[in-house]
Amino acid sequence: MKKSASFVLLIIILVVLLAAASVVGSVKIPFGDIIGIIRGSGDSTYRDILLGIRMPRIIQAAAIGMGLSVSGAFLQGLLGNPLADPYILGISSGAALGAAVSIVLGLGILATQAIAFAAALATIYLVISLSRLGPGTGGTTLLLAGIAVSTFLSAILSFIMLISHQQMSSIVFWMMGGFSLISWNEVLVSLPPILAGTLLMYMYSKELNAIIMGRETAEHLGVETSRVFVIILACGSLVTAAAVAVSGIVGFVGLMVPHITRMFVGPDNRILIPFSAVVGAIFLVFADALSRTLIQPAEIPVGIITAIFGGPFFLYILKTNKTLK
Amino acid sequence: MKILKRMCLFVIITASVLVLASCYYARPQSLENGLDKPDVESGKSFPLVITDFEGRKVSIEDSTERIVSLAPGITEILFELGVGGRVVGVTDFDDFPEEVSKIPRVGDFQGPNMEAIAAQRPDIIFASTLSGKNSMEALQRLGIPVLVLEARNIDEIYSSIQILGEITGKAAEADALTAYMKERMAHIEERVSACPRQRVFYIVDLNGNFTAGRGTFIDHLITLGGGVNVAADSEGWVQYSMENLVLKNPEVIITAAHAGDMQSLGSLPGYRDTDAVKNNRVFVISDDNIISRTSYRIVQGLEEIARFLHPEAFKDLD
Repeated sequence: MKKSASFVLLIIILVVLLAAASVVGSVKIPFGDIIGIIRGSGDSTYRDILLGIRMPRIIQAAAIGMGLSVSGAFLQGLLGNPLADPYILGISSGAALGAAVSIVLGLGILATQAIAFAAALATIYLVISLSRLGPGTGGTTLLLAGIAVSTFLSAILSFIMLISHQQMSSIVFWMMGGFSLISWNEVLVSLPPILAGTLLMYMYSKELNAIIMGRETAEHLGVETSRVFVIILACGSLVTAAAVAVSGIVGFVGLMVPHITRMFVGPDNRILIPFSAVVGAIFLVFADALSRTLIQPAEIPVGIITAIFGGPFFLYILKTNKTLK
Repeated sequence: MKILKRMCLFVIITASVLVLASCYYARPQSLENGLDKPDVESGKSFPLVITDFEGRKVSIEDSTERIVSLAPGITEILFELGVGGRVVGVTDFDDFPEEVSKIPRVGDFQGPNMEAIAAQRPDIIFASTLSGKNSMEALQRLGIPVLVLEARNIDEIYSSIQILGEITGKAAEADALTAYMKERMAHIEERVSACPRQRVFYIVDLNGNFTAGRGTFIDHLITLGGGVNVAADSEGWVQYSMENLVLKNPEVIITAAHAGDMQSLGSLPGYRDTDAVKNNRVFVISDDNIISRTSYRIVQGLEEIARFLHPEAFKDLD
């Protein structure tokens, strides 16, 4: 099948899934009421649930799935390491720590987002600076610095949990991720940075192709690799921080979705990036639908779902996909 | 050379941290706590064989003068029975009564600290149901009787008070305390019995929308106080679906001071459409320990909740 045809198919799957995800939930909304609500009438409680609670959640999940997957794909290519993703590089931990500090101080949701974003940027800046202390500025040093900083920040986060028993469930919620408190406010605040960061990264797909062939080769081809490095890392942090600030740490998406997508469409980033974006959105909307419905009326943190379903699926693809080898 | 120096420095710092840390728990206990002699006449004769709430049979050979309590609710009962002076170790969570602040801390969020407990040379340990299997086994290795008397429901609070009275030789005081509790409970239930039941949602934590479902003390208290817990269709402490919250439309919301920014409820989708928020019936409990701890103070918690739900039934008292 041609790439463009499969991309259209993927978009159709996403749209169908978005519609299906709006229909399912812990509250059963009769189909007649859904039609009514779309037409502007229908039961007002159902309308509040569908338009005020379920819709923003689904859109948020799609946007974050897209943003994290694209960030992961770029970081993997940029650092030449299949394990790179916002989580490994410490960006998520930085943002989560910022969010936790804000929660313990009792600040509101907007302040929490701002502090998470500032902390994520500070973390990636620290990681980049640290990686320059080592030999060369290659991907491995950056990755190691990221892991070191990430571990350190997680320890601080655990310590904060230890000394503030009362806010523990809040912090646990932030560490396991979830969309249960998403409203249109969160969508409006987080969508612009996620979309802008993702789009900006996409515009560097060609440069990323060159960088994957080696930094020297890329320089010969006229790519200012250092500048691209900084731009991509900044965009990745922006997207991750915006995501973590509204939904906590949703692991696995940034790491696995690009790999799974690469197995089907190959390594050309001009194709891989848009495909990853759509697959990431599909994956997270699906995971969130499960988190809402599996043990209703209670919810499962979405980070648990992504890991439980994504991990084995990834291994299955790895084992069965012949073209990979 | 430089590297060697740095390594030496590192080793020295690490060693001093370890030494300091081990000193911390080696503090000897002051002798003040032996003053309150057990009241032998009113108690049964030793050895006592007690079956605790985990179904374990524990033999207590002698009167207990040094008690470690790893459950804040048990600590409260011990003080109310008049044997607070015998308590030589509590957890980080203990904050009632005030005297408890002077007692050494021997357990925290991560569970009991074996060294600190052993250093207090207790005669008996009251473990928490939250301690977990590993901690229980470790406690038992200390060779000291370990009892789990943390109640899981209100009836078990009565039993725990009775058992604690027996062990400490304060059976009469225990009888009086349970009689007082039962009378208060009956009084409150009677007052609210004629009132229409209110739909209630309890916010444990606004972040993640955590609530108290079926089987929790809060759920029991809401029912006894003349309400229906709308989250009773889920069990234990859960992240509750915002969609269901809107559908159930609680008339009253109860929460604790640290559960999040309650000012934001009026603008929070989901919450802002509930009757409770619209009619300004969101109440903050004075202290969430009185509705979650396995202590006699649960009657205060019940009264507060009943007054939130049915202020009209308590008008004559104000």
